[in-house]
Amino acid sequence: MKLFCDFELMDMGDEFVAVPIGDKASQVRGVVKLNKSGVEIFNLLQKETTEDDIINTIANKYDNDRTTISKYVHSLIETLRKDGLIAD
Amino acid sequence: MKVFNVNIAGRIIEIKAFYQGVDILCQEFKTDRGPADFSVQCSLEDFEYEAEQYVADRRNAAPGPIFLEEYAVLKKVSEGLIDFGAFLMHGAAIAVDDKGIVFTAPSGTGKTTHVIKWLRKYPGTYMVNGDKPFILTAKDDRPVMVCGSPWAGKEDLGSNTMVPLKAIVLMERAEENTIKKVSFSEAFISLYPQIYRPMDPEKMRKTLRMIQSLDGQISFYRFYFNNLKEDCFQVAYEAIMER
Repeated sequence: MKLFCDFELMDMGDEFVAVPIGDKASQVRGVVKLNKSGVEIFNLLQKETTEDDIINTIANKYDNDRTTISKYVHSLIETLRKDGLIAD
Repeated sequence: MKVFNVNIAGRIIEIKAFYQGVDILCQEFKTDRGPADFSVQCSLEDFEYEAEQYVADRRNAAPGPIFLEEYAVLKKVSEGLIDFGAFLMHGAAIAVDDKGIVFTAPSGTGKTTHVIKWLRKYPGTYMVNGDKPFILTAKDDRPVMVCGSPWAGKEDLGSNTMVPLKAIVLMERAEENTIKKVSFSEAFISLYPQIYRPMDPEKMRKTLRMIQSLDGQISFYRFYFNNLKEDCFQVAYEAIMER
């Protein structure tokens, strides 16, 4: 899976906003608001990947409980999928 | 074919138009100055694309080629001006004491009705553009400017002028009139749909950088308004003009 289209990330200080760009952008409604953790996952989704790969990457980078990471990653991916932003 | 130069947002643009509609539309913006910074001319594919977009957006039959060319030329001018630090907005831009204020909201919200109240109530106010002004980003000593354009809406309200931009006001209909200053990040979500968004990724990135450069340069307001209530103008005026 990967993101449906390319996105440009805008740093708003306390959060980020992902703006769709490119020829598929017109099919995406609005923009995506992300916190810093969400940005890491979002960046990984810009290329073809799997949920397990994302969890492994985040878990290897941060010293957090793997269960917590898995829940967060899964939740974000499902939210993006529900909004039509994931191409499986 | 009509070939002429126009001056929009401080740039000289050569326009090659098939139909007289664009020639008439651009009358006030024509200039003898040259050479042109860039040239625009529409192709058959541009006409077909505009017709498809019109049908998709409005679910009406496509208008004739004169109307389509006006839209297609606007798009090409907008894309060209991105490379010169300007982007197109959907909004009604007025000047008060020669400082620009852009009122923006989806079509039909009541922007034009509201700005006309400003024009009537405050003598020093004039219309910069009633529908599609250009925002020229700051450079060297020049502040952010709001610029008139030939595309001035169905009321054709506007002038060939550019003034320093003081504020962008995001409008939303409500029962009571309230207004508050907001940060750029709070404003962006509502601002984004009212900006011309090119399909070319690099031009879109440039557009986003230009929009973000407004942070700290101008003020943003969220204005919940009811044009039928008497204090509608006053609430906005006192807040934005800091009176």
